[in-house]
Amino acid sequence: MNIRNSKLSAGPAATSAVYLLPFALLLGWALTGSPLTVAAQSANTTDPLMVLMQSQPPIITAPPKQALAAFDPPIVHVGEEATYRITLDALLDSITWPEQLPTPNGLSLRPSARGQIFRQIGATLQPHSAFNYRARSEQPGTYSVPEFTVQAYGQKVTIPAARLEVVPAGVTTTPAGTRLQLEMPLTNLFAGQSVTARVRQSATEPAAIQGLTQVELIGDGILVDRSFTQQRIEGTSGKGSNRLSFIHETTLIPLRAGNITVTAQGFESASPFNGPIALPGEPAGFRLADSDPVTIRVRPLPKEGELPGFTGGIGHFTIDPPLLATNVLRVGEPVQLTVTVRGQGNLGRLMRPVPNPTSEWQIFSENSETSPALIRARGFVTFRYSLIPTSAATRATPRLPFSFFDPARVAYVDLTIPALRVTVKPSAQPMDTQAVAFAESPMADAVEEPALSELATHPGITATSLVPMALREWFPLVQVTPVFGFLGLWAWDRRRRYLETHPDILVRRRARRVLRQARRALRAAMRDADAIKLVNSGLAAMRAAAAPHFPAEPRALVGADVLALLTDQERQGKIGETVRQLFAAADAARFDTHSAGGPDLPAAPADIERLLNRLEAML
Amino acid sequence: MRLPGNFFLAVALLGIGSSAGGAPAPDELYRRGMENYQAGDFALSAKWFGDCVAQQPSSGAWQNLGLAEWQNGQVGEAIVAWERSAWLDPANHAARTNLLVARKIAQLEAPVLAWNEIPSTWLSVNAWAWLGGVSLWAAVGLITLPGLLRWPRATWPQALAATGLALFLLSLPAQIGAHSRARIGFVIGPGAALRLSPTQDAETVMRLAPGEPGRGGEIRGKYVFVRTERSAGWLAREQFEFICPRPVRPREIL
Repeated sequence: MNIRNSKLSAGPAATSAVYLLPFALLLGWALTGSPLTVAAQSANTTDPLMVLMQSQPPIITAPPKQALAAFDPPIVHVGEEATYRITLDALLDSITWPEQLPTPNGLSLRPSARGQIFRQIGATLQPHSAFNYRARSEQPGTYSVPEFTVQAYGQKVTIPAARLEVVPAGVTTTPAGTRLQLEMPLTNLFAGQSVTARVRQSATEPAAIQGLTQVELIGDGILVDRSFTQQRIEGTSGKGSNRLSFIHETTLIPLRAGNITVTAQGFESASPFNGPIALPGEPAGFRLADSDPVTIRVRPLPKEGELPGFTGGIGHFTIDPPLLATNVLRVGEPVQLTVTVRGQGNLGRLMRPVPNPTSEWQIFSENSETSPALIRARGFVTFRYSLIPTSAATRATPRLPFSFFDPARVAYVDLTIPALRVTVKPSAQPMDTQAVAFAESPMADAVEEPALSELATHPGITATSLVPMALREWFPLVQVTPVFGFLGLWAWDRRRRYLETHPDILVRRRARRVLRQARRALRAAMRDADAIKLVNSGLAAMRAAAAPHFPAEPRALVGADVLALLTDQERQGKIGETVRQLFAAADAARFDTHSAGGPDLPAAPADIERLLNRLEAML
Repeated sequence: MRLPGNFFLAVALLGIGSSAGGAPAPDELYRRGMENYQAGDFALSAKWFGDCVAQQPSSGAWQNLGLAEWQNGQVGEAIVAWERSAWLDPANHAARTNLLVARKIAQLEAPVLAWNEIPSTWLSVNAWAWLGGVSLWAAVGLITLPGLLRWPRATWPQALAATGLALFLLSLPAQIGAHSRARIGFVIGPGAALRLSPTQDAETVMRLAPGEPGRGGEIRGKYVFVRTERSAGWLAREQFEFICPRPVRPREIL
């Protein structure tokens, strides 16, 4: 009772709350979590990419006020090479560099390196581009490369003149600056074979260390694998003193056959570290250094003797016994197969063996996220496959064909992963094994690569023109032709239906036809003066013309029937007389057995014609 | 009327003379094209195959012409030839594969087809026309003839008529698609400039690579209006080749 009272007393308030609740919820949703609010919030959020871009120091793109050009060293012996180096503070891509430099007679200039580095000045980056040429002369003398201009940011920049003094052997010269040394342990390689290239920068003074940055290997048809790069400092003894060398090692892979010339270049700090340590922020100079070219001879991989399962592995590899997670499994249950390959060569870039499609197994390769550098550092790579048996009759895992090329033996080596015995039990769940067995393997797709077709040996389908038939002039006419056929059929059917409802038309038409035939016979009898034939023909014509007026067979008509069709005047006149004569003559010819020569001509032919015309007019 | 013997002799001599003095037969041109291709003379091979298709267009000759042009470095001409091969014979798998490979290598897009143009590629354009015509008139005939000829009432004419009518209706979009596909063409030759107006001094909108597809429209003088996926403008007529050569109306020759 109390409850009821309380409900009653709270009735209006509760009703208002019920009505207001949806509005309150809507308002709360709109203010807090509506899509519009979220969109507005996201619009106010700064794009992280923009933040990253804005955090980068700006690059100075003002045209350089001056450029530097100098020979390093400025004095060389005859036949020795000096580096002609030109530097200017501009982006490399903004500089329009001439193909040929103004070169004095007797001095040869050969391009050897070009590069760009950024130097931080306060909160900005100053681009610094350098062009190196190798200068050499066989004659002593002083050679001067004259002043010339280049374009930077669309404006002319003057490159100052530089002078090189070439002196005979035995004359003291200035020491040359640092030159890089490119060392290749192997210069006779196969395409795709990796080799470690070593760039050495020897210090110019004992116990001095110089930095080297942006080291690059330049060559046509090579791939530099930057995933494996090492830098270290080594001590080198020689010439009565110990010097420190900066070593930069990286992996080089030749991609094409033939002779490939490779050079190394890098920017070295112009200030050696044996002096006072430079304070942070102090502008430091960078000098582009390069190496002498090294030529490597690259041979293509032999086609002869290539084994199944070759995926580009070049080196010397071995495989551990393959590991199967379990050798007792059920149809449809995946099992993992692990294959470990060890060795030396392009291990970091080794492609996994591709299994052949089989109806007994569905094979998926698992992606490995191990970096090439880590693979090379630990000395092995692991390939994992998920195998799903599709039949309980399966007794072993599939063999995975695999091989590599051993450059030392110049031969392909088979490393096929052997089959492992397994016991496959029927699946506990019903399974569409056919669907699994014939499912397209993603690895099989990867193998197929479309190529251009061969020549077609036969012309195949020919045509008179490429223009579609439907666009030619005659096509609409051909399409309209059936219309006329159908129209003709329709007209014929309509006429037939009309004749079916008016059969007398056909009877009269038939009578006229018979009448025409009888008339022809009558005329023939008249020509031949054959009285019997004339009587019979005249009678047949008369009956045929009169029959449509009676529902009777023409042969059943008698003279009275024909006379009944005539008017009284005609019956009494010549026409009636002709009718009677013809019937009488016919009866006489038929029944009179006493007269020998047959009947006489019963009537004049003109009368018979008149009679027939009269009867025909009535049809 | 009795024709004199000299008349037949003259006709025979005329026939022999025309066959001996005229161009070689298509089969002979086809054979020459194949021989030159196999000998590595792709330019001459392209010439023979070109003469062959000019006399008698055939799917195989267009396919081989495309291969010869491709070996010559004529990407646009090769793509046009393969498209025409597939136009004549949609079941020519080799031509379609060549188009895929060539477009992958040359970084070119295939023409974007409308929904009704896609089924039009399943059969040749003439097959669609025949299918539409025959199915329509067969349906009309099967509807009208039983009444006209007073055939006994049966279900099969009605079923066949319904099938024919359905075939006709289903073939209509494909026929329209085949007609609209005839407007597709491809850029041939390097340096094709799409211009704002059909004049030599007009501003260049963009440059098109050989083999790029477009849909041709109005022809004005030496220029044809081309609409590509990226832009539209006027292109020199000699730099745009339709799949189906379009007859030029007299007023378009200016």
